[in-house]
Amino acid sequence: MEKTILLGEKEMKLKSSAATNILYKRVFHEDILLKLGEYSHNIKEMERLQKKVEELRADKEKPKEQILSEMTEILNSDAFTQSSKFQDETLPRLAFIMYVEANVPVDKLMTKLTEEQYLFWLMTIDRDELLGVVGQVMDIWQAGAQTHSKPKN
Amino acid sequence: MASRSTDAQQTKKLKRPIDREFNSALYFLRCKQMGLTLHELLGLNYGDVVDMMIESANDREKYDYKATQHDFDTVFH
Repeated sequence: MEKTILLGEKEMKLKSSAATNILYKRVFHEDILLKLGEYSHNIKEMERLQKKVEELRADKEKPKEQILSEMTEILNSDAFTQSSKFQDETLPRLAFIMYVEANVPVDKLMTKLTEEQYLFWLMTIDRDELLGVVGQVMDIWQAGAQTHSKPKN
Repeated sequence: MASRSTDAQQTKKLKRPIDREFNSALYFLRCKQMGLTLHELLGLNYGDVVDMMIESANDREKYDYKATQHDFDTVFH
């Protein structure tokens, strides 16, 4: 899937393909499929914890100190820290691969894909603004990741 | 007709889910088994390739035969 997203005032074209995860592994030596699986699991866990926080806030019988302590514990839980790490580290890397796929001709793709190229690209974008479009970047990946066939068994 | 009754008489095994992570190595292995090159993958969606993997696995399954006019004639005459 190919889509242009707005990063502040800058337009950025991203493209996900069937080779995105292979290119990602080649450059960053990490498994993006496993990372995306973990992230998806953590998002569900965070939604569950968010509900718990709302329940804590609504509980007027509990002492405030206990509520604050429990909320801090939730915010420091693995789901929150790992999701934050995914958004800070993995997401810009995934966006870089998708940016290169969308903007570099296929025959030149391999030469453009190095970690040094990524660090250079990272200097040209606003990371805070990239964090603001996490959902859109994930949408581009997920739209390409949709499957329609059903296993017979 | 003979082959159909053989299929129907086969014991249906209960297939249980397996605990195997779908990682990039397994993905690439399946792509190579299907004969896809990196260049071809760049022109396809991830979902298209996963669909192809599912259909490739479905090729190994057995399917019910569709009844023909001859089958109806055999049953009703």
